[in-house]
Formats: sequence, C-alpha cells, structure tokens
Amino acid sequence: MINETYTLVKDEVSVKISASAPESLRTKRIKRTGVRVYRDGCIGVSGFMGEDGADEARERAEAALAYKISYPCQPSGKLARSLTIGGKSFTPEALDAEVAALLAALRKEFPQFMFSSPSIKSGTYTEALSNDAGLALFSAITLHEFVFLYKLASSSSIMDGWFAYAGREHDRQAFLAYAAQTLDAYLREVPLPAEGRLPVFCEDSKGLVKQIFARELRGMTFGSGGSLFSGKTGQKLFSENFTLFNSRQEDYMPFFDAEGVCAEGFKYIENGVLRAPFADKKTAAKFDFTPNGSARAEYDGTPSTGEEVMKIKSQAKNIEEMLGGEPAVFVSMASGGDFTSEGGFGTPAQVAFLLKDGKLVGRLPQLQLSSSVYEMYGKDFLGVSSDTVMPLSNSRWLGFLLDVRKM
Amino acid sequence: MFKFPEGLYCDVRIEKVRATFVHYLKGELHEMRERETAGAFVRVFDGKRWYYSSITALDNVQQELDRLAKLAAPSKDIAENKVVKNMAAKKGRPHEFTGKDLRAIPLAEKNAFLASFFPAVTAEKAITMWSAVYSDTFTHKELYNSKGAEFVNEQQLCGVRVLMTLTENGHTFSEAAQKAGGEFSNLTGFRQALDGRIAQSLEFLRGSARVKPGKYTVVLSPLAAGIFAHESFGHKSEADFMLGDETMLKEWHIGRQLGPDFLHITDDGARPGSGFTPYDDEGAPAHKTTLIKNGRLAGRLHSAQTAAAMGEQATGNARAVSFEFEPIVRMTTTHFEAGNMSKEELFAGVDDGLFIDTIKHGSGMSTFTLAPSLAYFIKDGKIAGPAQVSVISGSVFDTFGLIDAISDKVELLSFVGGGCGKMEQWPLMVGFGGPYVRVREMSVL
Repeated sequence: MINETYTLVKDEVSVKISASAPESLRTKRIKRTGVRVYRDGCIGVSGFMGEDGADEARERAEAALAYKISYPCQPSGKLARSLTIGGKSFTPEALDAEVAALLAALRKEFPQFMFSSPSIKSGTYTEALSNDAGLALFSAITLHEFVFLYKLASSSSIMDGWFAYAGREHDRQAFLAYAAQTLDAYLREVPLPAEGRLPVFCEDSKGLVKQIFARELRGMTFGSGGSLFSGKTGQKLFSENFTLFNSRQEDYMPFFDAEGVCAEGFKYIENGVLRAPFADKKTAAKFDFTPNGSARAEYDGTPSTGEEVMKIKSQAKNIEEMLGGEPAVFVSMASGGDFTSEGGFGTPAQVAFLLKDGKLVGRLPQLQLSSSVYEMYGKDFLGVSSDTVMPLSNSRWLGFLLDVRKM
Repeated sequence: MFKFPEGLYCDVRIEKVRATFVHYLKGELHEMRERETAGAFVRVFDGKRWYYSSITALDNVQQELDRLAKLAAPSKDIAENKVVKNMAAKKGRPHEFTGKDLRAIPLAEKNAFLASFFPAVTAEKAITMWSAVYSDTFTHKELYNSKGAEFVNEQQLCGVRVLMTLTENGHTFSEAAQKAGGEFSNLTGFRQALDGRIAQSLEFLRGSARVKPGKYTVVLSPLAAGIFAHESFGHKSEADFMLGDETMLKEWHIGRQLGPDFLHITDDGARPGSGFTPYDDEGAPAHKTTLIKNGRLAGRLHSAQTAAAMGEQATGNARAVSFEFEPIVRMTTTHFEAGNMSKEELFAGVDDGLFIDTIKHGSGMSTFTLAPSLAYFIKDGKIAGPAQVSVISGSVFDTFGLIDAISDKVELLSFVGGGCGKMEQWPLMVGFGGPYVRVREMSVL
C-alpha cells in the first residue's frame, strides 16, 4: 500500500472597491489536506480542513478502498523537487495603501470614470504532494491579481469594461500606464473600419477562444470517440503556426499536476497536427495515451483529467510586426459566446478597441464575431505575439481573421 | 459565546457542511465520497470600512475578531450607523431542517439510485461518452453578532445529473439531464426526464442545421426564460451595483417602464428548491421581492448595507457562496410570473423564429447572452427541426420592450452542479424557471 498526502494552502489578502473607494479588507488562511491510499489497483481518498484530522482521514481513506475505485497505474514516486516563485505577498496594510494610491491617481486623471473591484488580491498559494514511494513535490507561488472595473459616471451599465493583470510582480507606474491607455482609448469613440473579415486580437489567456480545445480534447471524450477530433490523431487539422502545449508554469500553476506528473511543454497540437488529448494517468492507461500533467483533483477527490492547462506557442513577431501597419480589432470584453457542437463559433464583443501599431487608439461599437474552429485556427490563424499585452503579465496578443459585424 | 470588541459591529458565521458526491464515468465508479467541512467567516465594521477574515481553524475565531478590530477604527456611535441598525438584533427562531434528513440515507442507497439510470444510457449506441453524478449537501449555519443576534439555519439539497456526448457519422452533440430538490423523494421521475432528453439529443444529432445569423422572434422555454430573467435583469436588480452611482439610480428608478403590462418578475427565497434561503448570511429572513410589476420596475434586492444606503428594506438576499467569502447581494429563485396567453397561442404567433429549449450558459452585463444547446426552428407556429445556435444576445433596456407574449403557467426548476457566478463567488445555488416567453427581434448568432 502506498500512502500519499496532498496539501493546499491559501494565504491571501484582498481589497474590495466600490464607487471608487476601498470598501473592505479581507484575509484568508485556508488549509486543505487530502489523504490517498493505493492498494491492489484501487484508490481510497479522504481529507480534512484546518490543522487537525490526519489520522481520521487516513482511516477513512483506507475504508474507501472498499468502494473499489480502480486506479490501474503506478502513483508517481522517486522525485523530490521544490520550487518557490515570486517574492513576498502584500501585507494587509500594504495592499490597502497600494489600492488607495492607485485609486487616488485614477480619480485624479480620469474623474469621468467610476471604479470598482470585487477583489484586488495578493497571496501565496502552496501545494505539496508527497508519498511513501519517494515523491516529495512542493510549490509556493506568490501572485498579485489587480482587477479594476470601470464605467463612465454617465453610464447606466453595471460596468463598461475592465483592465487587469495577474503576475508575480507589481509596479504602480506600469499598471497606471496600462490603465491610462485603456481609459484614454475608451473615451475616444471610433467607427468600425468595415464589416466583414477583419483581424481580431485578444489576450491569449482568454478562455473563450480556447474552450473548444478544453471540451474536445478531454481524454475520456476523445478516447471514447465522442470528440469532434476523435480519430484524427496525427492529422494536420490546423495552421502550421498553431502549436498548443502544456503550460502550467506560464499559467502560474504548480509545476506538477494532482498526480505528481511534470510535463511542462507537452504538445497537444504541434504545427497544426493533432498529437494528443489531455489525460490523467487513469485515462491515459485506458486509451494508451501519455499522462501529460493535466490531472486535477479536489483536495479529497480522485484525480481526473483537467483541461485548462494550455498555451498557444508564440511567434517571433511582436504585435506591431504582426499588424504590419494595418488596423485591427482588440477584444477587451467578450462575454457569453461559445462554440457549437460542430465547431461553429460566435460571440458578442461588449468592449472592443481599434488597434494600430500595437496601441489601443479608440473604442469601437459593440460587435458580433463569428467563425469556426477549423477556420480560426486554420487559414485564419494569425498567431501569438512575442511581446506581452502589458509588462506585468505574461498574456500575449492572439489574433485571428473573424467575421465582424456591428451589433 | 464570543467577546465582541467595543465600538464596532461584528458578526461570526460558522458553516458546517456534510456533502455526498458519487461520480461514474461510462459506468465505472470514479469517485464516491462523504465530506464534512467546517469554516468560519468573521466580519468587523467600524462604520466606514469592513474587515473580514476567513479561516478553517475554528478555535481561532476570537483571535481573528481581535486582530481585525485592531485594523478598524472603533466608534462610540456605531450603534447609530444605518447599516448596523439594519442588522438583526434578536435571537432568531432556528430554521432546523424537519424533512427526511439526507444524512440518514445510506450511501449505498444513493449509489444504487444513481446506477438505476445506467441502462437507459447504455441502451443507446450513439452515446459514446457519458458521466453520471449524484450529489447532496446538508448545510448547518450559525450566525452570531455583536447586537445579540443568534441564528441557526439548516437546509439541504440533492440531485442527480447525467451528461452525455452522442456521436454518429462524424457529428457530435453533448447534452445533460438533471433533477434536483430539497428531499430525496423529489428526484422521482428522473428516468422519464432522462429518456426524453436522450430522444431529443438523438434528433438534434441527426438533423440539426446551423441557423443563419440575424434577428429572430425567439420563444424561450421555462428554463431559458428563467436564465433570461436572471441574466438580463436579475443582476441589474442587485443593489450593490448601484451604490454611489447616481446614473444607475436614475436609470433604474422605481416605476420605470421596462416592458409590457403583463410582465412581472419576482425573486423569492422562501421557494423550496435550489434557491431556498430561509435566512440570508446576515440573518435577514426570506422575502418575496417583486422586481417588476405590470412592466414597471418595482423593487430591488438588498443586503443590510445596500438597503441602508438607499433607504429601503433588507430583502434577505445577502448571500455568500461559502465560509470563504463575505455575503453580497445575490438572487435566490428569480422568475417571470404567469402571463397573458396559453403556450399554444404563444407558439401560434410565430411565422419564422426559434424555440430555445435548453441553455449551456448565460451572462449578464451591458449586453446579456444565452448560449443555447437544444434549439429549434419555428415555421408557421410549429416546431420545424433542430437548430444550431451559438449565442443569442441583447440589451435589457431594449429587449424587455420586445417581449410580446408570456404563457400562463409557471414551472420552477432546481439544479445541482453549476450555479450563479458573481465576480469571484461561484457557484451559488439559485433557482430558475417561469412560463414560456416570446421575444421579438432577438440577435442570433
């Protein structure tokens, strides 16, 4: 029998903003521990919250072996690695002061706007996975998440847009410069150059345009033949420039997944060729896939395939070079769109800007965007820039040719 | 129980949750667990700012109260603060659950109940991937505040859900069937719902055609109408969005005409089901709030703070998704009330339109969106085959004025899995439903 412990600790401070003023200050100290036992090809899992309860959880996990939940694979072992990323998180007092300083600057420079935020966060997120087969993995990541919602004081909407970043560093002037570019552009209304097929860019972290892969590359669905891409492994389905890979560290996640698999850089799609679906160890064993660092688990749950760990490989060109002097659309806020079961894509773009020479130059009317997965990642794929959208984050510019209409 | 610091309003919410989760993937057991958790959320208010702490070490609640108090600025006039005046001051009548306790039902019985539906799925060869889930929660909450209030609130929810992917001739389609309620007995009848959903999904897989983008008259099912009410309007009725915002207050003034005079929308935390909230997380009792009456804005959803700011009454809508978060203004069960014609009359009035039966997800900001799953063309008042639709969208300011028919029967629905997201708090259990609703000129992609 192998005993395993999975520990997740969230140590976080956050500030909420309402009507351009700080409203609340919150601290969190949440510790969750999962206990897993492996015996005779089965897994038993339990867990507890807080500091106490390890012995009882171990007993429950052993009792859960009676459920005969199959785990026909070897738990990870013989690997010890520890990685601490980022500096110190803000103290409550320091974050409070930083938010107050940002708000003071924004209120002064942009009095026509109101600002709010559900939470501006700074925290250290720790995960550890260890077992008596020699596994000892530890990750501590300090991350700052600054999200500001804005609206014109004259607007009757809940919000008109947002500017935000998640990153390991914070720099007040860099954030304010990014905010100023967004807000200046928002104030300058410009017409859509023309309806029809236009270059459209968004941040490459935007889940909306990648959710088709989260859905259709899920290992169990793919292996069972229920995916749009089932049976197409090895086929060139997309653009030569399109490579989709495992990106745990670029996405500020621990370098190991919930089963202790480290697979940074694993390619799901390589130069347009479908290589593999997302798979945890059990799914991989069932269909002869390779486990690829995409397992996730509740602290007290059985590991299963997660699918949000993916990044599109960037190119040598920066955004200015990609645009080549031509204007484009930058989608800042697109909520509610989706892909159909056949891969058709459609979304409203509630906030979009005109992009020229890598800069936001004005606010476009609300738009409707449409395409299909094979077109937008095929002949209409423009790629991912080498430079980031703003200096504090690692989000890059991701572009497609899409059908663009005014709403 | 706690020593509350002087000159401050304080409350402590302790949540103890017992949850069951059984999950099968293609008929193979993937997860079976019974989880017991406990955590506390501590709030301190000095009349200007709130200070919060969320912890799992329940022994440290007093320590956290004292720590937060040091960050705050005590005021001798705190009792006169309008927000504090709105907070509960009495010991409430405990709302202890009196039905059949889900905790008393053996895990084996829940597991067998779930497994009884597998034959309906495995009998259909086109279902290439499926999963089945049984889940339940029994929640015990205690609330203590510095005004002397003490509340105990217990509630439970259970449900069963089957997700299916169908594949045939290179086409795929994914759908789900589910049923939920406050008691295990509420899940009776799921087999019929599952059989119906499988049949609908097969028809969609074999015969759907992509809709041509444009403006259509759209008929929304009770499920779709419920999500429409929630996303297009419900979020705008949450008063925290209006705090300090004169434009929003003017735009959303009580009495504003938004739609036809047969349009009524309510939010009701006393309705049994997934939106059931007998007391909110500040101790305010459930309240039926009329949001729209005769097409006119008639009310808003409040916490103690927003009610104080607007001079209105708290409505029992201060809810937190878990002990990790502060209560904010949220919906409970939000729905259109019955309308002006029968379902048959409503469909008969559509020459060329769409019927939206089920929804994958929705969003509600300046422009609301609904992403349909099962949708159908309507020709000359009749369903005329399945339609692939990416998203329908519109502005609430315009769209409510385009509602031209509401059917005369209300069907309310409960859910497990998913829920409402607002900013960082997701998923919160809410209820949806309503009658059939017909809307002209909706934007369809």
